[in-house]
Amino acid sequence: MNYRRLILLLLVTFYPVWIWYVKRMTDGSDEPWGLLALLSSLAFVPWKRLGNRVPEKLLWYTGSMLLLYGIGWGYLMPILRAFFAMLILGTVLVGARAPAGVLGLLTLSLPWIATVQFYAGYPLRVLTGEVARWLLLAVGLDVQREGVTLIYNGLQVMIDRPCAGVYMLWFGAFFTYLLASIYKLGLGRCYQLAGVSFVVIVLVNIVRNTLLFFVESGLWQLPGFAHELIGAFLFLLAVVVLLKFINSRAEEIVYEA
Amino acid sequence: MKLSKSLFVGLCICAISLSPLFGQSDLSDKTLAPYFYRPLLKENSVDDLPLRSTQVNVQISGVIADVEMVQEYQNMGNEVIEAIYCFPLSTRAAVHGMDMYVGKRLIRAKIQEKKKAKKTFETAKREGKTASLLEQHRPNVFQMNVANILPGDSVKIVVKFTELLVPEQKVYSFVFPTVVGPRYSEVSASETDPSKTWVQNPYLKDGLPVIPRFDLRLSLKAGMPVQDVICRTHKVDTVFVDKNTASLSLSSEEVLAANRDFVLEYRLAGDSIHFGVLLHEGEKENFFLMMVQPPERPSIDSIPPRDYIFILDVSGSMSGFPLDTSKEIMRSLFATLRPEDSFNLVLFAGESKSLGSESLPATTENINRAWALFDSQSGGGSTRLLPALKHAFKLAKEENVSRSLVILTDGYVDVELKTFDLIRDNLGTANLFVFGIGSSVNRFIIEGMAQVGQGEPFIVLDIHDAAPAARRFSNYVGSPLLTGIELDFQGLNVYDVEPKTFPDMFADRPLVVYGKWKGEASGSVTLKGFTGEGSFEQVLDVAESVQDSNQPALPYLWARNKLALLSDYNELDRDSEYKLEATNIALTYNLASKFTSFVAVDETPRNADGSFKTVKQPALLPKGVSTLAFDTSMPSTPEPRTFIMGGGILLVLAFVLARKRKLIRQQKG
Repeated sequence: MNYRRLILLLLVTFYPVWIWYVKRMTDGSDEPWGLLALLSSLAFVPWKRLGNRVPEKLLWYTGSMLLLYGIGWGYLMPILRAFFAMLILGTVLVGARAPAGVLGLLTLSLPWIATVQFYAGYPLRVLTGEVARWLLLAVGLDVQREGVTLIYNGLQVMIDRPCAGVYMLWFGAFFTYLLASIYKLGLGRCYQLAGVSFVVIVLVNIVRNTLLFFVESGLWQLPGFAHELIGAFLFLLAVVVLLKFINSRAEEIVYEA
Repeated sequence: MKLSKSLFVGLCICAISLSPLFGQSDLSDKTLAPYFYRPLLKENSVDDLPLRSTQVNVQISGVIADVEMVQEYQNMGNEVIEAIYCFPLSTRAAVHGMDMYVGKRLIRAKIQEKKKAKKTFETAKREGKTASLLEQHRPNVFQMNVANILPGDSVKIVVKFTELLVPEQKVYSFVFPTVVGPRYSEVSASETDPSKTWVQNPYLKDGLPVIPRFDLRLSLKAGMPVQDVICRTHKVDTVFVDKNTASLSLSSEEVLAANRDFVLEYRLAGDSIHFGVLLHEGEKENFFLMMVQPPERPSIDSIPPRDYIFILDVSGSMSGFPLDTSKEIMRSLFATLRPEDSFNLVLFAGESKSLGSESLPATTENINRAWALFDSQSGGGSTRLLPALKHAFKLAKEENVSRSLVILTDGYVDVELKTFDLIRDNLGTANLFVFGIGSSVNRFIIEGMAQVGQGEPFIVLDIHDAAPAARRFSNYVGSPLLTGIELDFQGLNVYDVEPKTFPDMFADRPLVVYGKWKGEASGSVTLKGFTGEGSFEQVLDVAESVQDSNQPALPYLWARNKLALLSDYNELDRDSEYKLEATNIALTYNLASKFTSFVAVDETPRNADGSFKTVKQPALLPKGVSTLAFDTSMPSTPEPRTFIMGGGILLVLAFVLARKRKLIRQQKG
């Protein structure tokens, strides 16, 4: 069996996933940023290989994963089924030796934002609020936190849904997987970078919320665009830190000519 | 081996392809919203709920209501506090006095120009003196600041105001609003000037233990036999002293019910109303107030077709009972549409959308479509009234058809003056009618929109008012009471008469004219105009019509009316001449206004080290208003926009790719 046939068969097999995917992308519940990740991943797929025979190991791997997928189908929530499907398809598309970043991009193409916002949004906001409160205490502001609201002297600033940093995390992951694809990082190094990205973005979001507390509570009188500017600057700072991190390991990376 | 391998993969694929058909039913994407439980705060050394009670004493004499409102602040904490409390008053209230009691010591407040009053207050606050400042944010929204309330202190503030009661449909009503509803603002705290931060008013959730006590006592001396004394908003105990006089007090069950407007309604026997002339002879000036009875509403057989644009608020604050009431009103309004009429719907929250790009004939099919669209709304999102009005004004209109714009909202926005300007600039020949829906609506914007829109306001307190209000609207639009109104004074030397021009009269209420006079109170006044049946004229003999020859409230009412005309519905900051005139009037007649405030300072310094905590007294959530009204009202710290993050990544990637290409070239070399 060659790659082309196997990929076609898999595409047919996963038809419930694609129906769900299109529905989710068009029902307005999630911004379709996943399409950006999907398109980006396609740029790194070795298309020339499609006519080649599928190695035996990969075929067994695919079959075993399909069995797991089939068993789990009735128990998994739709996005996890899609994650499984994307993992199987991705592995066949790019091969086991291909850069792990492409797999990351493929899985990132799923509509994660609303789901992550729902399950992790509130804990992230509480974490952000609490650490921001410590930072504000450190500069002498007696700030209290109630739920996700910071209160200082009767002034209240809420760390609401759009403040959780989920979009920043998504774009951080997108950047990480793109870098991993470009630098052709292997699985271990790719996920090491993804972990660093997560920590850096969460920290940057805490700093961002801390600074914006001064702006939104009126303690700092800044023009309206300052809010956006502070956020953009800090995100760019996070991206540069990630780039520095990967460049610091540049000597370990082998570039393909 | 080859066969078995392919067979294995093939079987897997077949089994899995079919599994959705036989497997357990699809796990749906239903989301269950997370929630959190907020425990009570304990052992706080700062008393953050210092307002203990609001006591209101009302004396209604004829058509004048004199009100004294006593707010009592106590500090039960361990630290000195400054209390800030934002509260509503009637849009027509002429606030003419304030007293402050520190313990038993009385300090009478002075009226000062707004900035000067603020400075006086801030200086006293810094010097550790107990001081209070009453500022007007809107004609119906005031803020009380009380500085240096020491632990254990009790500070009472007495605010005095007076207002004119004008009957509508022969029914008199006295309204005492108790809570400022949550306003939606598009401006962040960092962008707004400090005087507008009242919009960030905190609210108490249900179940908190310390709620300010509310009490209201009212004495009604109508001067004529009264009947049908009804309070539908609160339970009251009513005692009739004689047939002209009643005494009311709030039932003890209502001691915590300061979460909705107090509305008392009554009629005079035989459905008569007070009309005639009230006079006041002062040392320097004499004032008059004239109430002229309108003609009976004509019954007209043929009403020309009209075009209705219904602008419907479906924002978060309308969620629940207000939206249900809106739907009831719309059901009644749809029923009054005739096939020759046309209509359109504009629904607004964060965004606006209309039923069609132009008005549709009022056929059953179109009405059903409109109803289905409106009925599917559950309320959510912000309240962006201005874009909705702009949207409505842009809708195509047929020539020679009279258009009526009908707005249904709670008015919980902070852009009142911009709204009035927008209506004035765009309304053209249309009339604008406003239904204010809820237990504590923003009456300023509801009445103001109707006033500048040459229409009428309708306040709908609950769902039972919905159908009668819709019927009243239908009557008003179908047959105005009087148009082309003129007033002619003969033999009475009058000046400073307001209003100078009169809009068409839709509602059944007396025409009210304020002014000053010199010489003898004699002569006559002629009211001229047109009804649906032809021209109309009514002559009033001044000497014979005097109801009260020495009514001391008249200077305040004249000045409040003049201020309303000058500044309530206009942005005066641009026009210093009007601002100066309004300031002078307010200072001369001792009124709190947009440009003047009351300030009281206890000259004895009491807070030696000068340190204090500022406490914003939270308000109760208006009855029936959902917490959805708060989704967008608190400042927050949203992430940078996604296109900015995407753009940033692209820039860095371009740099990375260029660098990679260079490295590859170097490796090759």
